[in-house]
Amino acid sequence: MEGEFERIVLKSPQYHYMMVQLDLFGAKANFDSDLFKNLIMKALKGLHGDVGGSISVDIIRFEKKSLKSILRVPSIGLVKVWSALTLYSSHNDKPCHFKVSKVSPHLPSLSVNSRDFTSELLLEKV
Amino acid sequence: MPRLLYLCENINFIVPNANIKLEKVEVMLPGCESLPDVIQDISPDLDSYYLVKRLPVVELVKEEFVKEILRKGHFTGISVGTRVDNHTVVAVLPSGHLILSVDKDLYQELGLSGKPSKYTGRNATRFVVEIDLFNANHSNGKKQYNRVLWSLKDRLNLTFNFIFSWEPINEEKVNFMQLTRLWDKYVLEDLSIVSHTIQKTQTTVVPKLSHNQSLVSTPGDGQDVSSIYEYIGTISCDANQVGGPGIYSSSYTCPEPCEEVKGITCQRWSGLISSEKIKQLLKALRSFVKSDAFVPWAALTVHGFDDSPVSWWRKEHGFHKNGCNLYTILILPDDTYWLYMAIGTNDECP
Repeated sequence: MEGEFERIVLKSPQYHYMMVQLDLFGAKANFDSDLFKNLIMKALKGLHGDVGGSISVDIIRFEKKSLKSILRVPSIGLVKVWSALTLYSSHNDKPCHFKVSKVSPHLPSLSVNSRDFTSELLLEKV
Repeated sequence: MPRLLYLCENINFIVPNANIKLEKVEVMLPGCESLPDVIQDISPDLDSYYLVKRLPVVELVKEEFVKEILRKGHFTGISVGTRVDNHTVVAVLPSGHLILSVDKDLYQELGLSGKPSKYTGRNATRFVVEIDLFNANHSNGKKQYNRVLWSLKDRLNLTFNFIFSWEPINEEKVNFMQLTRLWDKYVLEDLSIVSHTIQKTQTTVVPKLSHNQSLVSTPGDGQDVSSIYEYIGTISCDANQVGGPGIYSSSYTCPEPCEEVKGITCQRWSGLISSEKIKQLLKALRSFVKSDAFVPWAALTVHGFDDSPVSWWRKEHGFHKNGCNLYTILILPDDTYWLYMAIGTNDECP
């Protein structure tokens, strides 16, 4: 049985996805996903108070070694989360910073990075 | 803030490819613990593409190149190491168009006519120059041809590192020697398509898609098209966090209704991949999904280059915060497809 052709256009995202990396400037720390999330919530509460603390951030992927992570953030809270991560500068009295490398409302687009891919192509052949 | 725009279409025929440069292709098969042979046999990693360094752009507009190479096959090429938001990007399409995305200073020095970029506001700081190499006026002796040659060679000798692929129309002989003869002053390097596998061999849950399911979800329905697309993204990003209602780090779960499968295979190929290969993969996936009862659906995702100057239907593409231009075809066993087109902030809706 043939179905009808349907086309829908979605313009209002529910979530945005961020690719972030925590840089500890060479210091060693043992992070797991719960501790990483705790750090993000601390950053949010630190800048935006209880309103920031009520934003639910989900960790989709977390790499323990490189401290890279993909976060799912509700779109209404994206600006708060991004600003809180950008301005967070110390962890346990040691300097650190969050590097936000990619932000997109489409999660599949975070799985690839053509700029890194093409620059690797050129590096290999030099 | 990056804007969301995506389309979802429910179709039951194969859609011809949009004119975007293809950088990565992913095939996702729930219910398979490894890539089936029928897909392995037409895997893109059997193909290759080429890198040529410091190629003058004028070589791409010369009449001999157009006659011997462009007209006799599908030639696709793009400059590498250049960013569409602040460098000059060059691309050649199989339709015979040369696209240059340049900044204002270079545009004024170049002296070729183009259009201001749609994504730089009232005071245009970027311009897009499009040259139709298959136009009758683009031949030796004509004013347009001489002007283009003069701009690109005598006025400004623009050179780029360029990757390209070329598939001749007639399969009788691959006339690659012709290209190496034309470009004998430059070094052509053979690059192979890189392949990467993500496999989950333990029992996993995947969304359950039913026959003739409507794209428009009813209120209270746990599953809608965006949550299915998000699910495809979690597999593609190799999500390693288990989420759930009582879990602190993540509350993400598979959209309901869902079903258990014995594993998922996600195979990714990276490089300059031709649209003919995508069509072959689509055909193979379509027959595989119909024939194998353990595979509830398959997803084919195609990513374009973030720095491509054109995207859907040869319309201008910009980077903004992520430069995404990708589409996913979700293949169902009853010969229907869902086509998701994820459109970036600086892209037009196709």
